[in-house]
Amino acid sequence: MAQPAVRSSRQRSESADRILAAARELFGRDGYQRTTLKQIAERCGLTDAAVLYHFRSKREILEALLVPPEYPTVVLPSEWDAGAFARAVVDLFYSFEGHWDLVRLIAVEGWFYEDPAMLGFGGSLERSFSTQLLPTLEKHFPSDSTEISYAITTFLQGFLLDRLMLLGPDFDEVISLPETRAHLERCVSFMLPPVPETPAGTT
Amino acid sequence: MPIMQDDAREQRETDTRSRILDAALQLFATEGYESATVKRIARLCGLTDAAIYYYFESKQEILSTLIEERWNISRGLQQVSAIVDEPDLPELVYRFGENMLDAMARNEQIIRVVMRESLSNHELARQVRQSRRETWNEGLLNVLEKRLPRETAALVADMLLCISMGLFVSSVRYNCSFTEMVRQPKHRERVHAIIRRAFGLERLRAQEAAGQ
Repeated sequence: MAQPAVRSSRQRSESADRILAAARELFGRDGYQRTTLKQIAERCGLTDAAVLYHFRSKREILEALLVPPEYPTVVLPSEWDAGAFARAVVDLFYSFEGHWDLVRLIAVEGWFYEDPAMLGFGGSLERSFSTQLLPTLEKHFPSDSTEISYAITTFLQGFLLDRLMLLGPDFDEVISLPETRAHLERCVSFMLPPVPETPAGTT
Repeated sequence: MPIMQDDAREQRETDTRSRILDAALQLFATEGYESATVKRIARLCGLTDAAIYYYFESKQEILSTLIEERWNISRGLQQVSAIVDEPDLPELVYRFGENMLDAMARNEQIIRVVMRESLSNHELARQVRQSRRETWNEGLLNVLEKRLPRETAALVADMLLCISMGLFVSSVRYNCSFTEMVRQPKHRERVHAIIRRAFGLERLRAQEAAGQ
Protein backbone atom coordinates (compact mmCIF):
# COMPACT_ATOMS: atom_id res chain seq x y z
CA MET A 1 0.00 0.00 0.00
CA ALA A 2 2.97 2.27 0.47
CA GLN A 3 3.86 2.43 -3.21
CA PRO A 4 0.95 4.48 -4.58
CA ALA A 5 1.51 7.09 -1.89
CA VAL A 6 5.15 7.45 -2.89
CA ARG A 7 4.24 7.74 -6.54
CA SER A 8 1.62 10.38 -5.91
CA SER A 9 4.01 12.46 -3.85
CA ARG A 10 6.59 12.29 -6.62
CA GLN A 11 3.96 13.30 -9.16
CA ARG A 12 3.07 16.19 -6.94
CA SER A 13 6.60 17.48 -6.81
CA GLU A 14 6.98 17.04 -10.56
CA SER A 15 4.01 19.25 -11.25
CA ALA A 16 5.24 21.73 -8.65
CA ASP A 17 8.51 21.93 -10.56
CA ARG A 18 6.64 22.40 -13.81
CA ILE A 19 4.60 25.20 -12.28
CA LEU A 20 7.76 26.89 -11.01
CA ALA A 21 9.48 26.62 -14.38
CA ALA A 22 6.46 28.07 -16.19
CA ALA A 23 6.08 30.87 -13.65
CA ARG A 24 9.74 31.79 -13.93
CA GLU A 25 9.49 32.02 -17.67
CA LEU A 26 6.33 34.11 -17.61
CA PHE A 27 7.38 36.39 -14.74
CA GLY A 28 10.69 36.95 -16.45
CA ARG A 29 9.10 37.75 -19.79
CA ASP A 30 5.95 39.68 -18.84
CA GLY A 31 6.66 40.68 -15.25
CA TYR A 32 5.07 39.46 -12.05
CA GLN A 33 2.15 41.90 -12.08
CA ARG A 34 1.05 41.14 -15.60
CA THR A 35 1.23 37.37 -15.26
CA THR A 36 -1.93 35.68 -14.03
CA LEU A 37 -2.32 32.38 -12.25
CA LYS A 38 -4.42 31.23 -15.20
CA GLN A 39 -1.55 31.87 -17.64
CA ILE A 40 0.81 29.85 -15.45
CA ALA A 41 -1.69 26.99 -15.32
CA GLU A 42 -2.19 27.08 -19.09
CA ARG A 43 1.55 27.12 -19.76
CA CYS A 44 2.03 23.85 -17.88
CA GLY A 45 -1.20 22.25 -18.99
CA LEU A 46 -2.86 22.25 -15.59
CA THR A 47 -6.07 23.72 -14.27
CA ASP A 48 -6.09 26.73 -11.95
CA ALA A 49 -7.30 24.43 -9.21
CA ALA A 50 -4.38 22.07 -9.74
CA VAL A 51 -1.93 24.97 -9.44
CA LEU A 52 -3.64 26.18 -6.30
CA TYR A 53 -3.30 22.68 -4.87
CA HIS A 54 0.49 23.12 -4.90
CA PHE A 55 0.77 26.82 -4.14
CA ARG A 56 -1.79 28.87 -2.29
CA SER A 57 -1.30 31.95 -4.45
CA LYS A 58 0.74 33.58 -7.20
CA ARG A 59 2.69 35.22 -4.40
CA GLU A 60 3.64 31.85 -2.96
CA ILE A 61 4.93 30.75 -6.38
CA LEU A 62 7.09 33.86 -6.56
CA GLU A 63 8.53 33.24 -3.12
CA ALA A 64 9.31 29.63 -3.98
CA LEU A 65 11.39 30.91 -6.90
CA LEU A 66 13.72 32.94 -4.71
CA VAL A 67 16.52 30.40 -4.45
CA PRO A 68 20.00 31.89 -4.57
CA PRO A 69 22.38 30.53 -7.22
CA GLU A 70 25.48 28.88 -5.87
CA TYR A 71 28.55 31.09 -5.91
CA PRO A 72 31.87 29.40 -6.66
CA THR A 73 34.39 29.68 -3.85
CA VAL A 74 36.95 32.34 -4.63
CA VAL A 75 40.51 31.06 -4.42
CA LEU A 76 43.19 33.62 -5.13
CA PRO A 77 47.00 33.68 -4.97
CA SER A 78 48.34 35.08 -1.70
CA GLU A 79 50.10 37.93 -3.48
CA TRP A 80 47.93 40.65 -4.98
CA ASP A 81 47.05 39.88 -8.56
CA ALA A 82 44.60 42.38 -10.02
CA GLY A 83 43.94 40.30 -13.13
CA ALA A 84 43.15 37.16 -11.10
CA PHE A 85 40.93 39.18 -8.80
CA ALA A 86 38.98 40.71 -11.70
CA ARG A 87 38.51 37.25 -13.19
CA ALA A 88 37.22 35.95 -9.86
CA VAL A 89 34.71 38.81 -9.63
CA VAL A 90 33.48 38.10 -13.13
CA ASP A 91 33.24 34.36 -12.35
CA LEU A 92 31.04 35.23 -9.40
CA PHE A 93 28.94 37.42 -11.67
CA TYR A 94 28.47 34.59 -14.13
CA SER A 95 27.16 32.26 -11.45
CA PHE A 96 23.89 34.01 -12.35
CA GLU A 97 24.05 32.40 -15.78
CA GLY A 98 20.84 30.42 -16.22
CA HIS A 99 19.21 32.65 -13.59
CA TRP A 100 18.95 35.89 -15.54
CA ASP A 101 15.16 35.74 -15.42
CA LEU A 102 15.48 35.86 -11.64
CA VAL A 103 17.78 38.86 -11.93
CA ARG A 104 15.25 40.63 -14.14
CA LEU A 105 12.57 39.91 -11.55
CA ILE A 106 14.68 41.40 -8.77
CA ALA A 107 15.28 44.47 -10.93
CA VAL A 108 11.63 45.07 -11.78
CA GLU A 109 9.90 43.98 -8.59
CA GLY A 110 12.64 44.87 -6.11
CA TRP A 111 14.43 47.94 -7.44
CA PHE A 112 11.43 49.52 -9.11
CA TYR A 113 8.31 48.28 -7.34
CA GLU A 114 10.17 48.03 -4.02
CA ASP A 115 8.61 44.70 -3.21
CA PRO A 116 10.08 43.85 0.24
CA ALA A 117 10.56 40.13 -0.46
CA MET A 118 12.38 40.82 -3.73
CA LEU A 119 14.46 43.59 -2.18
CA GLY A 120 15.41 41.32 0.71
CA PHE A 121 16.38 38.57 -1.69
CA GLY A 122 18.40 40.94 -3.89
CA GLY A 123 20.10 42.33 -0.79
CA SER A 124 21.07 38.89 0.46
CA LEU A 125 22.51 37.97 -2.95
CA GLU A 126 24.54 41.15 -2.93
CA ARG A 127 25.83 40.54 0.59
CA SER A 128 26.93 37.00 -0.11
CA PHE A 129 28.56 38.26 -3.32
CA SER A 130 30.61 40.83 -1.38
CA THR A 131 31.42 38.30 1.34
CA GLN A 132 33.30 36.27 -1.26
CA LEU A 133 35.47 39.25 -2.18
CA LEU A 134 36.03 40.97 1.13
CA PRO A 135 38.68 38.72 2.73
CA THR A 136 41.04 39.25 -0.22
CA LEU A 137 40.34 42.98 -0.35
CA GLU A 138 40.77 43.36 3.40
CA LYS A 139 44.11 41.65 3.23
CA HIS A 140 45.55 43.87 0.50
CA PHE A 141 43.61 47.10 1.02
CA PRO A 142 42.74 47.23 4.72
CA SER A 143 41.55 50.83 4.71
CA ASP A 144 39.73 50.73 1.40
CA SER A 145 38.18 47.28 1.15
CA THR A 146 34.53 48.17 1.82
CA GLU A 147 34.62 50.99 -0.63
CA ILE A 148 36.20 48.95 -3.40
CA SER A 149 33.71 46.17 -2.90
CA TYR A 150 30.85 48.64 -2.85
CA ALA A 151 32.03 50.30 -6.07
CA ILE A 152 32.28 46.92 -7.80
CA THR A 153 28.81 45.74 -6.75
CA THR A 154 27.26 49.09 -7.65
CA PHE A 155 28.88 48.93 -11.06
CA LEU A 156 27.75 45.34 -11.66
CA GLN A 157 24.16 46.10 -10.66
CA GLY A 158 24.15 49.13 -12.92
CA PHE A 159 25.65 47.07 -15.73
CA LEU A 160 22.89 44.45 -15.33
CA LEU A 161 20.20 47.09 -15.30
CA ASP A 162 21.65 48.94 -18.27
CA ARG A 163 22.01 45.83 -20.40
CA LEU A 164 18.60 44.44 -19.45
CA MET A 165 17.06 47.65 -20.76
CA LEU A 166 19.37 48.02 -23.72
CA LEU A 167 19.29 44.44 -24.99
CA GLY A 168 15.76 43.43 -24.04
CA PRO A 169 15.06 39.94 -25.38
CA ASP A 170 18.68 39.54 -26.59
CA PHE A 171 20.08 39.92 -23.08
CA ASP A 172 20.72 36.22 -22.36
CA GLU A 173 22.53 35.71 -25.62
CA VAL A 174 24.72 38.82 -25.52
CA ILE A 175 25.62 38.50 -21.87
CA SER A 176 27.15 35.07 -22.42
CA LEU A 177 29.42 36.20 -25.27
CA PRO A 178 33.14 36.05 -24.54
CA GLU A 179 33.38 39.76 -25.51
CA THR A 180 30.96 40.70 -22.75
CA ARG A 181 32.99 38.75 -20.26
CA ALA A 182 36.21 40.39 -21.40
CA HIS A 183 34.58 43.82 -21.19
CA LEU A 184 33.48 43.15 -17.61
CA GLU A 185 36.96 42.01 -16.64
CA ARG A 186 38.45 45.21 -18.04
CA CYS A 187 35.89 47.31 -16.15
CA VAL A 188 36.52 45.55 -12.84
CA SER A 189 40.30 45.79 -13.29
CA PHE A 190 39.88 49.49 -13.88
CA MET A 191 38.27 49.91 -10.46
CA LEU A 192 41.07 48.17 -8.60
CA PRO A 193 44.00 50.16 -7.27
CA PRO A 194 47.11 49.24 -9.29
CA VAL A 195 49.24 48.42 -6.28
CA PRO A 196 48.30 46.85 -2.93
CA GLU A 197 48.29 48.99 0.19
CA THR A 198 50.45 46.55 2.10
CA PRO A 199 53.61 45.33 0.41
CA ALA A 200 53.44 41.72 -0.75
CA GLY A 201 54.56 39.13 1.74
CA THR A 202 54.08 41.16 4.91
CA THR A 203 51.00 39.27 6.04
CA MET B 1 -14.43 91.50 -21.88
CA PRO B 2 -14.53 88.31 -23.97
CA ILE B 3 -10.76 88.32 -24.34
CA MET B 4 -10.20 88.16 -20.62
CA GLN B 5 -12.65 85.32 -20.36
CA ASP B 6 -10.71 83.45 -23.01
CA ASP B 7 -7.50 84.08 -21.15
CA ALA B 8 -9.01 82.81 -17.95
CA ARG B 9 -10.27 79.72 -19.69
CA GLU B 10 -6.94 79.08 -21.30
CA GLN B 11 -5.23 79.40 -17.95
CA ARG B 12 -7.69 77.01 -16.39
CA GLU B 13 -7.08 74.48 -19.14
CA THR B 14 -3.33 74.75 -18.74
CA ASP B 15 -3.71 74.17 -15.01
CA THR B 16 -5.95 71.16 -15.51
CA ARG B 17 -3.61 69.71 -18.11
CA SER B 18 -0.68 70.02 -15.79
CA ARG B 19 -2.68 68.56 -12.87
CA ILE B 20 -3.42 65.53 -15.04
CA LEU B 21 0.27 65.16 -15.84
CA ASP B 22 1.22 65.45 -12.17
CA ALA B 23 -1.30 62.82 -11.15
CA ALA B 24 -0.30 60.48 -13.95
CA LEU B 25 3.40 60.79 -13.16
CA GLN B 26 2.73 60.06 -9.50
CA LEU B 27 0.64 56.99 -10.31
CA PHE B 28 3.02 55.70 -12.99
CA ALA B 29 5.94 56.10 -10.61
CA THR B 30 4.39 54.46 -7.58
CA GLU B 31 2.20 51.78 -9.09
CA GLY B 32 3.42 51.27 -12.61
CA TYR B 33 2.20 52.33 -16.01
CA GLU B 34 0.22 49.15 -16.53
CA SER B 35 -1.94 49.38 -13.41
CA ALA B 36 -2.45 53.15 -13.57
CA THR B 37 -5.65 53.34 -15.62
CA VAL B 38 -7.06 56.54 -17.08
CA LYS B 39 -9.94 56.11 -14.63
CA ARG B 40 -7.58 56.17 -11.67
CA ILE B 41 -5.67 59.15 -13.02
CA ALA B 42 -9.00 60.95 -13.40
CA ARG B 43 -10.07 60.08 -9.88
CA LEU B 44 -6.75 61.26 -8.43
CA CYS B 45 -7.23 64.73 -9.90
CA GLY B 46 -10.97 64.89 -9.32
CA LEU B 47 -11.96 64.72 -13.00
CA THR B 48 -14.06 62.40 -15.12
CA ASP B 49 -12.50 60.01 -17.65
CA ALA B 50 -14.08 62.11 -20.40
CA ALA B 51 -12.32 65.22 -19.12
CA ILE B 52 -8.97 63.46 -19.39
CA TYR B 53 -9.73 62.50 -23.00
CA TYR B 54 -10.38 66.14 -23.77
CA TYR B 55 -6.69 66.77 -23.14
CA PHE B 56 -5.07 63.50 -24.12
CA GLU B 57 -5.99 60.90 -26.66
CA SER B 58 -4.75 57.95 -24.60
CA LYS B 59 -2.67 56.86 -21.64
CA GLN B 60 0.21 56.35 -24.05
CA GLU B 61 -0.06 60.01 -25.06
CA ILE B 62 0.07 61.05 -21.41
CA LEU B 63 3.28 59.06 -21.08
CA SER B 64 4.87 60.52 -24.19
CA THR B 65 3.88 64.03 -23.08
CA LEU B 66 5.45 63.40 -19.68
CA ILE B 67 8.64 62.26 -21.35
CA GLU B 68 8.71 65.31 -23.57
CA GLU B 69 7.80 67.89 -20.94
CA ARG B 70 8.96 66.46 -17.64
CA TRP B 71 12.32 65.05 -18.56
CA ASN B 72 14.61 67.94 -19.01
CA ILE B 73 18.10 67.00 -20.08
CA SER B 74 19.10 70.28 -21.65
CA ARG B 75 20.22 71.69 -18.29
CA GLY B 76 22.36 68.64 -17.64
CA LEU B 77 23.96 68.93 -21.05
CA GLN B 78 24.58 72.63 -20.53
CA GLN B 79 26.37 71.89 -17.27
CA VAL B 80 28.45 69.30 -19.05
CA SER B 81 29.45 71.66 -21.82
CA ALA B 82 30.69 74.02 -19.10
CA ILE B 83 33.22 71.50 -17.81
CA VAL B 84 34.71 70.16 -21.04
CA ASP B 85 37.73 72.42 -20.71
CA GLU B 86 38.68 71.07 -17.31
CA PRO B 87 42.38 70.28 -17.78
CA ASP B 88 42.58 67.52 -15.18
CA LEU B 89 41.09 64.35 -16.69
CA PRO B 90 40.12 62.52 -13.47
CA GLU B 91 38.46 65.70 -12.23
CA LEU B 92 36.63 65.99 -15.54
CA VAL B 93 35.28 62.42 -15.35
CA TYR B 94 34.30 62.97 -11.76
CA ARG B 95 32.43 66.17 -12.53
CA PHE B 96 30.75 64.63 -15.52
CA GLY B 97 29.45 61.87 -13.23
CA GLU B 98 28.32 64.44 -10.70
CA ASN B 99 26.36 66.35 -13.34
CA MET B 100 24.81 63.20 -14.68
CA LEU B 101 23.62 62.19 -11.19
CA ASP B 102 22.20 65.67 -10.60
CA ALA B 103 20.34 65.49 -13.89
CA MET B 104 18.96 62.08 -12.94
CA ALA B 105 17.88 63.42 -9.55
CA ARG B 106 16.02 66.34 -11.14
CA ASN B 107 14.07 63.92 -13.32
CA GLU B 108 13.87 61.03 -10.89
CA GLN B 109 10.20 60.16 -11.21
CA ILE B 110 9.96 60.07 -14.98
CA ILE B 111 13.25 58.18 -15.18
CA ARG B 112 11.90 55.56 -12.79
CA VAL B 113 8.82 55.15 -14.97
CA VAL B 114 10.77 54.92 -18.21
CA MET B 115 13.37 52.52 -16.79
CA ARG B 116 10.79 50.22 -15.30
CA GLU B 117 8.71 50.08 -18.46
CA SER B 118 11.87 49.64 -20.46
CA LEU B 119 12.67 46.55 -18.38
CA SER B 120 9.22 45.23 -19.22
CA ASN B 121 9.93 45.82 -22.91
CA HIS B 122 7.47 48.68 -23.37
CA GLU B 123 8.45 49.86 -26.85
CA LEU B 124 8.18 53.64 -26.41
CA ALA B 125 9.97 53.49 -23.05
CA ARG B 126 12.78 51.42 -24.52
CA GLN B 127 13.30 53.78 -27.42
CA VAL B 128 13.32 56.84 -25.18
CA ARG B 129 15.69 55.36 -22.67
CA GLN B 130 18.04 54.25 -25.47
CA SER B 131 18.09 57.67 -27.04
CA ARG B 132 18.79 59.37 -23.67
CA ARG B 133 21.55 56.92 -22.96
CA GLU B 134 22.98 57.61 -26.40
CA THR B 135 22.92 61.36 -25.77
CA TRP B 136 24.93 61.01 -22.56
CA ASN B 137 27.25 58.46 -24.09
CA GLU B 138 28.01 60.74 -27.05
CA GLY B 139 28.60 63.66 -24.72
CA LEU B 140 31.06 61.57 -22.72
CA LEU B 141 32.85 60.20 -25.77
CA ASN B 142 33.22 63.65 -27.28
CA VAL B 143 35.14 64.74 -24.24
CA LEU B 144 37.02 61.54 -23.49
CA GLU B 145 38.20 60.68 -26.98
CA LYS B 146 40.25 63.85 -27.07
CA ARG B 147 42.28 62.65 -24.13
CA LEU B 148 42.19 58.88 -24.06
CA PRO B 149 42.80 56.09 -26.54
CA ARG B 150 39.52 55.31 -28.27
CA GLU B 151 38.93 51.98 -26.55
CA THR B 152 39.67 53.31 -23.10
CA ALA B 153 37.34 56.24 -23.71
CA ALA B 154 34.53 53.83 -24.57
CA LEU B 155 35.29 51.77 -21.47
CA VAL B 156 35.28 54.76 -19.13
CA ALA B 157 32.05 56.10 -20.67
CA ASP B 158 30.30 52.76 -20.27
CA MET B 159 31.51 52.41 -16.69
CA LEU B 160 30.31 55.86 -15.74
CA LEU B 161 26.88 55.20 -17.25
CA CYS B 162 26.60 51.84 -15.49
CA ILE B 163 27.74 53.19 -12.14
CA SER B 164 25.22 56.03 -12.28
CA MET B 165 22.53 53.46 -13.04
CA GLY B 166 23.69 51.25 -10.17
CA LEU B 167 23.58 54.25 -7.84
CA PHE B 168 20.14 55.16 -9.10
CA VAL B 169 18.66 51.85 -7.96
CA SER B 170 20.78 51.59 -4.83
CA SER B 171 18.82 54.36 -3.11
CA VAL B 172 16.12 51.82 -2.20
CA ARG B 173 18.69 50.31 0.15
CA TYR B 174 18.86 53.54 2.12
CA ASN B 175 15.13 53.87 2.27
CA CYS B 176 15.21 57.22 0.57
CA SER B 177 14.71 58.60 -2.89
CA PHE B 178 17.62 58.93 -5.27
CA THR B 179 17.24 62.71 -5.11
CA GLU B 180 17.71 62.59 -1.33
CA MET B 181 20.63 60.26 -1.72
CA VAL B 182 22.39 62.59 -4.14
CA ARG B 183 21.69 65.66 -2.01
CA GLN B 184 21.95 64.54 1.62
CA PRO B 185 25.51 65.04 2.82
CA LYS B 186 25.81 61.65 4.55
CA HIS B 187 24.85 59.74 1.39
CA ARG B 188 26.37 62.21 -1.04
CA GLU B 189 29.82 61.58 0.37
CA ARG B 190 29.48 57.89 -0.25
CA VAL B 191 28.13 58.37 -3.77
CA HIS B 192 31.06 60.56 -4.66
CA ALA B 193 33.56 58.24 -3.06
CA ILE B 194 32.31 55.51 -5.39
CA ILE B 195 32.83 57.59 -8.49
CA ARG B 196 36.30 58.59 -7.37
CA ARG B 197 37.08 55.02 -6.43
CA ALA B 198 35.95 53.61 -9.76
CA PHE B 199 38.05 56.05 -11.70
CA GLY B 200 41.21 55.92 -9.63
CA LEU B 201 43.12 59.12 -10.20
CA GLU B 202 46.49 57.49 -10.84
CA ARG B 203 45.03 55.05 -13.31
CA LEU B 204 43.24 57.62 -15.42
CA ARG B 205 46.37 59.78 -15.51
CA ALA B 206 48.45 56.82 -16.61
CA GLN B 207 45.93 56.01 -19.35
CA GLU B 208 45.95 59.58 -20.53
CA ALA B 209 49.75 59.62 -20.67
CA ALA B 210 49.70 56.33 -22.62
CA GLY B 211 47.37 57.80 -25.18
CA GLN B 212 49.57 60.77 -25.96
